Amino acid sequence: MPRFKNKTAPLLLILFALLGLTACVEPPQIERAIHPLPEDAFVTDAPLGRYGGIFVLNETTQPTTFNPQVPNNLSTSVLLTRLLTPLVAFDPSSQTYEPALARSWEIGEDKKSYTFHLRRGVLWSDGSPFTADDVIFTFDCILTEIQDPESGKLRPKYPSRYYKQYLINGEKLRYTKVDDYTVRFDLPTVYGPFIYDIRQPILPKHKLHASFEDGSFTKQWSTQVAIESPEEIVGTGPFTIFSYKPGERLVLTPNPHYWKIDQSGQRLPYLDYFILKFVSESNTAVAHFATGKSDASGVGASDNVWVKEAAGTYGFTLHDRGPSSSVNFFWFNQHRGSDEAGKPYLSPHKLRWFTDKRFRQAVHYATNRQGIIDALLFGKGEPLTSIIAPAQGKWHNPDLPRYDYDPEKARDLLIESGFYWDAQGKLFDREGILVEFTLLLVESASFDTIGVTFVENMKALGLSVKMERCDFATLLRRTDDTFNYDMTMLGWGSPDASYDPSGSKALFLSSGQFHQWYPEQSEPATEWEARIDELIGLQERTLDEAARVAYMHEVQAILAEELPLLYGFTPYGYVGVKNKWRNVFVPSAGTTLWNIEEIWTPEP
Amino acid sequence: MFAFIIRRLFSLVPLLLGVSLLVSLLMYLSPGDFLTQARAAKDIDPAIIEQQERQLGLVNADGEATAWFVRYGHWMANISPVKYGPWVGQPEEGLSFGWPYFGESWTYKVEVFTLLKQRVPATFILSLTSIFFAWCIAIPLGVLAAIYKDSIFDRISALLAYAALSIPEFFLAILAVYFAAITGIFPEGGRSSVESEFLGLWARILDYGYHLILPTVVLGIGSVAGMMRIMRANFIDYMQAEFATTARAKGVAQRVIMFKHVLRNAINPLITAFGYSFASLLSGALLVENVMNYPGLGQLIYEALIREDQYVVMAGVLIGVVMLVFGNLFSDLLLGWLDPRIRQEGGAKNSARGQKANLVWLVLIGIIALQILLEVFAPSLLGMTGLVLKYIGLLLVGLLAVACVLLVGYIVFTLFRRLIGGVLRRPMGAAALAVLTLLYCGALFAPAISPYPITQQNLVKPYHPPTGYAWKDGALHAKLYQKEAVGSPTYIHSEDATAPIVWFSKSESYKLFGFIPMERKLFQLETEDPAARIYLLGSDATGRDIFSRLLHGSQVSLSIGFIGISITLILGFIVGSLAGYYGGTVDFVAMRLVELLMSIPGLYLLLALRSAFISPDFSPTQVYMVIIVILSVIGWAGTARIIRGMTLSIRNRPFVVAAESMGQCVPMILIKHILPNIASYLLVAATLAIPGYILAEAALSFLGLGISEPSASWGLMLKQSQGNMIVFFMNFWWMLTPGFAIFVTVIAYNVLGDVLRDIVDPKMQTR
Repeated sequence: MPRFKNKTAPLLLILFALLGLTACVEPPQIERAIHPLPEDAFVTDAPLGRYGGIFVLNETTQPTTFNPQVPNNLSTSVLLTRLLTPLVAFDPSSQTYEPALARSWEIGEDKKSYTFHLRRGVLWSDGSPFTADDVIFTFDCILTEIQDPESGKLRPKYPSRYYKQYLINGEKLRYTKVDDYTVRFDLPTVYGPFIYDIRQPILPKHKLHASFEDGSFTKQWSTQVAIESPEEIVGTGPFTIFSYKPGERLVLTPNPHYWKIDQSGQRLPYLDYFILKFVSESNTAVAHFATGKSDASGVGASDNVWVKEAAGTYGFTLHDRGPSSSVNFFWFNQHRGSDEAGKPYLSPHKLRWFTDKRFRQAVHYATNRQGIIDALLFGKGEPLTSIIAPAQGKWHNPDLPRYDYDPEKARDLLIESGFYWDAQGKLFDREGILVEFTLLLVESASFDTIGVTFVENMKALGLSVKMERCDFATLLRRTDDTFNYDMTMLGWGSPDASYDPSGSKALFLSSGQFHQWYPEQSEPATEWEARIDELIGLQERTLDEAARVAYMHEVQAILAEELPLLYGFTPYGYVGVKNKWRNVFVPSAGTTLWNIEEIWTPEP
Repeated sequence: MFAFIIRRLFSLVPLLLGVSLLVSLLMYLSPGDFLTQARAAKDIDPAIIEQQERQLGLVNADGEATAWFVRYGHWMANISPVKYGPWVGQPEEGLSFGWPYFGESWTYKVEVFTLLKQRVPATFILSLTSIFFAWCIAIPLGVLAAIYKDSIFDRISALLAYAALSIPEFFLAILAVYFAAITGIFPEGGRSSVESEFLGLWARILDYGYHLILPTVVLGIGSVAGMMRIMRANFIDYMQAEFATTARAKGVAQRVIMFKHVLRNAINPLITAFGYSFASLLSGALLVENVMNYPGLGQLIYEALIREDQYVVMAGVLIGVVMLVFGNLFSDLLLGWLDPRIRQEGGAKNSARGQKANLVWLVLIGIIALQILLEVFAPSLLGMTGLVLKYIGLLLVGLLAVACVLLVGYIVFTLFRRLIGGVLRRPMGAAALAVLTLLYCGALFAPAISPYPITQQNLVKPYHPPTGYAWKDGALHAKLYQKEAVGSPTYIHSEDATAPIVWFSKSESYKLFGFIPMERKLFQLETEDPAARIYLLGSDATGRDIFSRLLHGSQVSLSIGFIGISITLILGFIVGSLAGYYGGTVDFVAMRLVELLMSIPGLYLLLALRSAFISPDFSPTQVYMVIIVILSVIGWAGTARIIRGMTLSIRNRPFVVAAESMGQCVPMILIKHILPNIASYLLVAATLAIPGYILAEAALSFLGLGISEPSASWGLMLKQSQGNMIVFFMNFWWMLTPGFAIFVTVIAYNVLGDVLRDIVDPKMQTR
């Protein structure tokens, strides 16, 4: 047995071996152009690229399933768009809906029927042909009903949140197969947002039909399948799963049968591998990007300050997306009803304050939102004026009152409304009741800071506000069921680049479940709420987009004047992408890598 | 040997039953379940919820909620390899055999076993490497420190050991991640690099090893100090043992004596502790895994606990316990192999305990069965009993608190005067005492010393650096700073912008000690501009004064250890002394209980208890109280074990026998005769245990489960600085001062504890 004189020698040997191995092992080559192109291939208009390259992206949340019909989280649904595609997709660069699996579609005379013509020659990633049967199967999965053995009522066989989406005015959407490449949808009424709703990822019937029949559909395509036999998860998306290591990474590789090609007839995507690396802390994810270890990352407004300093060293660019699409808002409980015992949800004096428009406006004027932006976000953000964030393009009404921080104005409004201050500076209402209430917050570090600032601002105005924390479920129960709260706050993130006001209809309508300040009213409690109801109805029953936008602008103007929701602020979004990537187009909202299949690099 | 292993494995069964039952009960007690959030969301159809409830077995066929013990029974029946059908998940009729089934993860819709299979190896290897890392550092250092006792080397290594002991693990992990990010020498977290996907087997293993280095160091360093101390003490002991003298007399070389004779004996306790250090590493791993993004068991269980994914938590904790027991088994085998004496003792002792053990388990199972019967046949009775128990519990806690104050008063009164001289004569002791006095004074007088209220923001001055000072016009001035530009994190000071500091001037009114109304504060800035502030230690993200928050935070962080340890000592004393005094069955029951508590990784138990007893609408004071109680409930087990040992040795002394024969009652004997004899030990133990509470509070707050805004505690402040990478990358070092404060306090307590031990125990002095 050889003996090493020097104790470090074996160690060094191992190190060299490691270096040698890393140097000589190359990722397996991706075979291109082995399958013929589909007859109806989608030809992108993006500049031509070259094959090759590994794109590494940090993800903070892990997929809980690969089955789109199992309740999942946001990042899972974004991930699923890489594997599965819908009939129609939204293009953030042109802000329009463009054909995906459907080559084209037409709307019937009565504006209630939609006929989709599917692309011919498209294959699933395992080589099976894609036909109208797959589309029908997908909608069957959502809408098939069975009789409940106990209650005898009809209920969805596989309940999912999509089920309600396709109940239009309480009636189910009807869908029929015309021929192998044509599907027709019939709506009960004229329904503007239909094209927004129809972006359902299409599932492969040949893979899932058996489980659909025997009832094990929701157990299909679990994370375990992705670990053990990723080839089972077939799709029409740009990628398929190469390997999945929970807690570590998901490696995606091009779908050899993808239906998009570039102008020179090369099948997309250009990338060899697309790797999602799981990093549970968003801070760590940003740090990874800032030290050159991943190719793209969202960068928060407060991190922008230090991340941009590393841009030169690690060769990346920070793209400014402008105000983000997330909104947050406070609201006062304005529930006028009472519980079963006849006790009002809100004591009369509180109801009097909270339903007083001037009181709400005063509170809004006294909240130093710009201060929070300056401190927490280093000025990289702006106060919100509407529930529809500026990132939502045309739908956002740009001419709304801003309610900038103005404590003087707040005092004037309160005086006007009959409030007065005592010697200690405490606020009393016209009947001599001390103004104090509780702010209910979800436990979270960022809400804490906002809440603490709000409490301080109110203290300066003479209002005593107590902070109370609860978990999210409790908060929802108290705001939606028991109504025992004074004021609370929520954030609302819309992940999608495409926006349609019908998505938040339940908030605008006075009868809606998310009409937060006074939900599910039988009759609109105020005139302005009645007017909003009317406008929402109008915009839904027209297909003229300009008219819909105009209606929505009016809705926002009413909300800004009446102020049932006291808007918070929105940070500016930044996205860093390494300079070596071409064809990167950063939209103002939604996922940055929406066109991942077109992205390529000259230096793989 | 084989029989021994088999017996050990059988002893595992009741332990696993006990632990899983406890965890299951705690999960049941914590409000809400897996579907709570879905139920609250209005857009999810109630039909979906109902279906899910049935699927997950939360309700039975009639739509009634299944009782926790029924669910537990199903789970147990599924795990058992002997199955009897038809039952849930067991379609076959009659008796059959099958693989254990651990249930399904509700979040991932995968079998729990496969989920664990993905995670356990990572944590197992990490724990193993950290123990070996700790051994590799601690044993040589301990030996060297023993050989060169009282030399400079000894002192320096002691100091390093204190330092290692005093840094909260998660804080070290944060620093490590930052270090890795800056230098790029080590990977900053994760278990493997992206490239390893395409590497060969050996290269991949090396890649895993490379990623292990940093977590190993972070996790291992905490246990180095303790091991080193034990090693040093033992080595010194055995250096003077008879066999060493004999060997020396026979002319054996010093080197051979040291390494062949002394070391082999001195290493025993480390090996004995192997099992328990394994368990404690599992708790540590939770924090380190979370910060360093290491996909292990800790991360999984933590997430599952938050989401109430019940079976994952239960199975995960069980795995932890199994790992502990196997660690113990392994250490026993290792000891037997190393030390022939132990090999021979082993068998007899265990078999004598066997019968009694059966009895105890029978009683325990009987109690649970009774409870289950009650719950089945008279559910309201149990609710009533619960209510009564709750009030009795409250009463007990109240009494306990009073008793604790009395005990602490007693110890301080009787011992302090005796010991203070000794402490002050030693420079280390005097220094530690001075530091602690200063810290506690700071906490007591916090409202008077701190220039601003802790909630007062200054939104135009976030991340303000600590203020500089200037001497101007015969008075001390503080420099004033302006932001370089709007949206910039840097501040500049223009030459003559200063404001004078005024002493004992009037400010807003406050109450000192909670009842003395005062108006004057130690120092204030005399200025017209409300945004101009004096920041001794800079400001945080909303411009609040860190110095003020640090002082107020110390009220929580410093008192939590003090009160907690009092409760722990009382509980430990009652259980330990009774067990030691009576011996027999009482002793046996108490010690099994202690073992049960010690075998669950501490942090998991803490989290489970916390979610069972704290609801988010608690006020900060309530949270604070509950945290103290939980911490002490977990902590008393170790103390009870040691007190039992001491009582056991004292109870046969003549003065105890004399008191007995005079007819004194048991409590009297315990308090008048036994307590004074172990009081000094209690003091030492208390001093050395307090840091544990401070660190635990910090860890809890760090996980966002401790004290919450607008109150302050050191752990919370540290979390807030960690939540922001900007603190590191823009070098806002003053945000990390809470970490430094924890460090100083813990060091001071450790030094004081060691000095006290030297004084109290002259025999230990030689160590």
